Amino acid sequence: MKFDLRRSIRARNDRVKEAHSQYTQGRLSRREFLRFSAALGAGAVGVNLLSPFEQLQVRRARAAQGMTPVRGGTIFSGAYFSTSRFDDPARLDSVFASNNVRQVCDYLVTLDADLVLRPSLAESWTPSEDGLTWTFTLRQGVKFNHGKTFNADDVVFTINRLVNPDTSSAFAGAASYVTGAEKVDDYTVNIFTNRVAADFVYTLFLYVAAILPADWPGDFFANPWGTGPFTITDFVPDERIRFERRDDYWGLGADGQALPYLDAVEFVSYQDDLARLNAMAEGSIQLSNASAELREQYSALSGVSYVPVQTGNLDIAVMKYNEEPWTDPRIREAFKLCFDRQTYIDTRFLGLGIPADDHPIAPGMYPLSPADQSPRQQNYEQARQLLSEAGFADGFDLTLLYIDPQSDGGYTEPFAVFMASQLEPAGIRVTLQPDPDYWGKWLADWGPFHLGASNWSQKNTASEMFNLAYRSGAVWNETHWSNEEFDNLLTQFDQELDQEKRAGQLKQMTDLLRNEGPVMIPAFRQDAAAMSEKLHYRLHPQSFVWMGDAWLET
Amino acid sequence: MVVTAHSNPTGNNMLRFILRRLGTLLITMLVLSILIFILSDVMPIEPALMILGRESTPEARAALTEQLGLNKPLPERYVAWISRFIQGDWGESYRMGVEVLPLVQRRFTNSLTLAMMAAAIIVPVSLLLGIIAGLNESRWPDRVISIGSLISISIPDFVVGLVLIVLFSWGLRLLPGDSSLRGDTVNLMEHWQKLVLPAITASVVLIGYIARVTRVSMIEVMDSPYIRTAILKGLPQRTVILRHALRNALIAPVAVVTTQLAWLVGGLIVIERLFNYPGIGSLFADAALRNDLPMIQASAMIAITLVVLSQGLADVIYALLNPRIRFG
Repeated sequence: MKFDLRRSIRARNDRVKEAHSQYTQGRLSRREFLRFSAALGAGAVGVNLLSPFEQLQVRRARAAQGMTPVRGGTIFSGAYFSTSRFDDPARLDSVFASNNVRQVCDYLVTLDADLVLRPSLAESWTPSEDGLTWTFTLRQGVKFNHGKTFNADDVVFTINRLVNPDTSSAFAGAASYVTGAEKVDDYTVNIFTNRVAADFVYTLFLYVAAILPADWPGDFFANPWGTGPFTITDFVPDERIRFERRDDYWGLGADGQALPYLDAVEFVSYQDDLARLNAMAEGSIQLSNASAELREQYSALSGVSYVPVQTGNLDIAVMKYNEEPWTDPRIREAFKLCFDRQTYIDTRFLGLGIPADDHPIAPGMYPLSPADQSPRQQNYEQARQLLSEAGFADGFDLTLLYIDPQSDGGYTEPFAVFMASQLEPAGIRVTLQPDPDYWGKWLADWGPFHLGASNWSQKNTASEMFNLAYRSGAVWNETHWSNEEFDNLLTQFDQELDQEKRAGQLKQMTDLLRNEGPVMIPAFRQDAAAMSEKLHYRLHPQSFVWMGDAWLET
Repeated sequence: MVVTAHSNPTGNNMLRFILRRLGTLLITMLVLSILIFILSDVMPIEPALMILGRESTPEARAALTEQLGLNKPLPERYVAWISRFIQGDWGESYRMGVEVLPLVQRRFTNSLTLAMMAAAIIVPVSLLLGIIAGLNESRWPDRVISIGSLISISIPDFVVGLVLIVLFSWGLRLLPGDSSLRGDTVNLMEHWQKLVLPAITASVVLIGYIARVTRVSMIEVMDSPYIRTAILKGLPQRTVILRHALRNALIAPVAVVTTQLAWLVGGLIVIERLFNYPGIGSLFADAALRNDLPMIQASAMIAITLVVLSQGLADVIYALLNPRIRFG
């Protein structure tokens, strides 16, 4: 395959300039503009287009994130840790387990705590003019912890392994349009797609896409090889995993020396909220995820701060689009009108959340997410009227399927109970049916007059979320939502490189879902962590933990 | 009736008794292992799906199922499983992808250490309290001990644990409330402080129970004709209690203590969670919650072994204390 890199770069820079003019006209926020230029591999081009004053602001905001870091020390963390299997990074199935790999391996790109895409093992990237080939320039002078020098072979190995169906990686589903990778020279790689995918680069930060060396023989427990800032020095399943710093990591700290600042990091397993609180109180851990219920207890500890962080994680009421009574748009609308979203946030998350607008794209949590939301207000009168227009003047009976408390630690049950109580005044009578095999049948038809309750975690891009669960026939389309207009918009959204047009398309899609969709999404919740005041670490909205630039005050 | 003279009748009979008991235990365990295997076969778990994940292709799952021999008939799989199990190959955890046996060994050692520590508290304290209460029937020491033990039985263990943490760890700052071992091998000299609060928590529940059993047993014995005879003979009370009453009075409580050992080792799930102590109970609870079949099988086998062994031990101790049993 032949193509002209210089022409591609010129075309890319033109797109960044175009986005910049949209930004100066106020049609794109600064964050969106910087995100867009970063996604095209032109972060520096983007920053340079800003006025000197704005550049100063950006740099200040970045500098304000840390004082002068101190080196040394060990962090004990009881947060976001699980020892479910991570013997193959390509087959990870949870964010928590991926945090074990994240300390040891790097990705081509990284999505920082502001959800802005940044270079990592790839220094820059640019799409070809037809948008089907992405050329990555790789970082030089990077070493794996087993001694190999990082180069294009490793990227080609990793990408081709991810897209191979025999690997059973979630990557193949989430980025099904990626066909493979090819080495151009030692530090240049082409990655091919079979359709234009504007958000492609974000998928390289899917947690399964950690870069492994080309000579990796398999079994990450035995061969935890990576380019990351730490190495695994001890692993006792379900108890702890210990990471110690490497001296030859490529990333540089604020002091110009190699990262990480810390000598060691230990993830310690805590199953019980009270045990975690107790460990925090005793100072035997410095970081802990902290449920809303224990907010006051954590806040009362001296030397500990309680830090909420907004996420795009959501609870979802699932109406099977092809089954009675949900086939009638009036019933779906009536259903959505029954809920007081703020009450849900206040009772379920003790205030830690923002109301949602019955679509999964949380404001500020996704590139181009529409900022203006108007979550439905509870309106029983209107709901009852719609129900009687649809022929259910006396309401109806509904069976609510949800994940059995034994299987998810009781997470979903309060949501199910909340729905039952809010539906009752509208005449919708709910029978709760906890099901230990919910995930075994969540994609199937449930029969008429069934409702489901489940939950989704935030994805990197709107495209990822929609292609997984909202496109007609998508693998995880639990509602069986099928809307031609939506599908067409999604296809256009994926192939459009103009940011303003994309923002418009996304707004149209979220409006469609809000107004006609078969989901009721009451809120985007906030996660929270308790942190020692001595610990300098920024929480990631997606529960990713990377200790590479964390540090401890002495 | 002819009683044959025998050089050492007690010893020989005892040995035979223990061997016979062991035989019964082995048969019990074999039968139970078959039951476990049938039950775990009925559970709706697809091993290949759990190992390869939801993204795997049906072909890959079929290949793995073939490779694991999971499509063979049930009896064949049972024989393969039990012979591997006996040889120490307990398989790999689906959830964690690591060997089951070393993990179980490690957690078992931790639990055994904690159980021993708890037993060291439970046995002297509860027997002493029970004896004092029994000797002072209906007087104030009995009242205090009886009510106290009733309270200790009725309070759930996590409440006891929380109170102890708030008191000794947060308040007095005497002992840690976080008993995580963080990958270390448990060592009494090094970790005793971490074991104290969970051991006391486990003790509180059992002390009340065993003290009550001891009290009733003591009262019964003190009321029996041979003790009355001894007292009427004019023997000092000390001699009556220590030489005549105690041995018989301890039969029931000791049997109870021994049968509770299984619970002390494998049943402290709540206490392990609260103190974050890596015992075997919470490992098994997780396995059950997450359909981790090899771990569930291992845990069921361990649980059965524990119960069967402690029951057997109780029988032996009972026989030692009560000679009538041996010839029965």
